[in-house]
Amino acid sequence: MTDTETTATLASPGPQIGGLRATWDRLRRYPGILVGGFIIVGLVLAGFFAPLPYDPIEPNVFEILQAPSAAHWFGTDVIGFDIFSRTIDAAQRDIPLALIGALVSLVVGVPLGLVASAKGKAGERIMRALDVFQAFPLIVLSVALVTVTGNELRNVVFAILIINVPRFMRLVRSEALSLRESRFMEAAEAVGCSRTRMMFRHMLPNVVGITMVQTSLATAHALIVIASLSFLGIGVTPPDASWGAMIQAGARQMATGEWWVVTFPGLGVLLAVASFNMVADSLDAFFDRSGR
Amino acid sequence: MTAQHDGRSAATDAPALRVAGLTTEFVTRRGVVHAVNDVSFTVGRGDIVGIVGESGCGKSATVRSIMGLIRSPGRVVGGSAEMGDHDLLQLSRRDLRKIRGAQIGFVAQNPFGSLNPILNIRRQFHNVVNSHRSASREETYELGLSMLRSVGIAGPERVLDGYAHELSGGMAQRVVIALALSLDPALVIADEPTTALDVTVQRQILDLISGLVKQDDRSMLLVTHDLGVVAQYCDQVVVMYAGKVVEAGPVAEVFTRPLMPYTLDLLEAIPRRGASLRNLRGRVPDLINYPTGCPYKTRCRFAFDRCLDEVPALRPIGDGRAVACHLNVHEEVPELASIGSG
Repeated sequence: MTDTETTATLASPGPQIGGLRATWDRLRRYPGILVGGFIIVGLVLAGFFAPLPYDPIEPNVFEILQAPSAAHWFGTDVIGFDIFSRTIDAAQRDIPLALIGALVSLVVGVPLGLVASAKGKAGERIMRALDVFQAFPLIVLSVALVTVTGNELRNVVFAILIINVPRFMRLVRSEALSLRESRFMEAAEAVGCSRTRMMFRHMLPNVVGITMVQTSLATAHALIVIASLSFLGIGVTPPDASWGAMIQAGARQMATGEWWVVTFPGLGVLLAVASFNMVADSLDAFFDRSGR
Repeated sequence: MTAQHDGRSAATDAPALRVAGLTTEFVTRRGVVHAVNDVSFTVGRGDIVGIVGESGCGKSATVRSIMGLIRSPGRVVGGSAEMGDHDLLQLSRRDLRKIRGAQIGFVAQNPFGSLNPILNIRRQFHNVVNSHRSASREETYELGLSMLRSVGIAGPERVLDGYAHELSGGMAQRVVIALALSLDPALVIADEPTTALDVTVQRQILDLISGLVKQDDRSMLLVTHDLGVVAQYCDQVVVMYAGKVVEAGPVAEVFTRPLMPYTLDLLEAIPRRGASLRNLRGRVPDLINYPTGCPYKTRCRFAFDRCLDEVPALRPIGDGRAVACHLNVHEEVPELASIGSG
């Protein structure tokens, strides 16, 4: 019996698979990650691949401002676009753009935050400078940026970076500062670990959890930024569908009672943002329990 | 272990570590804390030297200064710590980094604190070795296995793939010792290595570490507040009080014939069966408003007028012993002379 057990243990495939398995078992206890993730992936996939009842960029001038019906589930807007088709179609533009913005912020912000944590006084000054920068209203900044460089999608990403890179930096820096005081960092120093090595081999793994939570929150926030900017006509430009632009297109109809024009894209934003927040919330609990 | 390691080969009579005039201060809002004051001692090659004293007497600050681990607001303001040809206190960050770990192994008080909580043990071996030379994962894994075996861990494979929180206190400290010794350092500095552990495993850990030190002809600086540990494991003892060395010498000599009243008081405070528990009256002086004269004067039962304003220097008195006290104790105080028999 003992013999077979030993053999079984030895023959069991590498630790990675066991690790994946264990991770999955733990993940299942945090349904928010799975449910939120499922909704987000569903929205994006639908945006790219779902068969839409109407062409989202082909208006039908004979059917403008129709209330939701069997023919037009979410109704039509003032130009005759089918709102259902456009609400779904917008997901393939807005969500990936928000994700790109958040991920680039992560990639830029985390190393900068780690470096700022090691620089003492200089790091402190950098953070203060960023505070000043951040105090500037984003919308004004973005409008100015677009005026100067032209209305391009990368400017939207840039706007997201301006908001989120300092947030990542501040988060990682404060976490790193408290990690620096820990005994194991001192132990690492005592075995002759270089500063760079300490930063990336000892600190970085310790901030992974918290940065993943922040990435999810940053994506949710980026969705709102994208919607706000496209409401102002920055970023995604018609006829391409974007939730913010759709809300803007319907804003005037609010007063005349055609509520569906703004409501459905608004629900689109709400659903996506809520999903990312749900993921963030569960990730937080997940890492809090399993990490430290 | 043959004479292949530079820390152990050159000039066999040179000590493993020679600390002289070490002084460390912490600048706080209340004033300057004189944590380490003109501390000098020598760790002979192959010796285990114990540093003893009450809490807050500068033991840890001393070894941290030697290791270059004093952080702001603390700073080492003077002295030297010579190891081979290097003065550790004068080395650049970079050169010091090459010595730490490779030539000095450091074992800290709390093993769980010393291990990175979210890296598995295998990764931590990898990190230690790769801080000094580039080594493959396979190579560091093999090294980890053999090091863990040498500290008496059965089933090292499982430990290597595990994390710190999965280990018991004794196991974790064994892992820390294995990590500290993995680059074969000539000198081991252990800062109260068993204080955080269960009493039952303290002895095992001390047996282990002193065995490994002796077996490979290393030297060790062992910080402790337990005189029993010093008596059992150390060759030399350095007694510290208020950031100063007040007595130093071979353990057998110092413990049977203490020359400084503080050492005597410490020895008498060891709990003994059948005897009522004695404790030291008073407390360690304020290290900010450092007292004039002998720092022990307020607690010393033999203090006389000279102790009030004249600082006793640490003076060598032969037999490798040194003491900082104004008494010519054996002539003047028969109690001290007779402690060995009592």
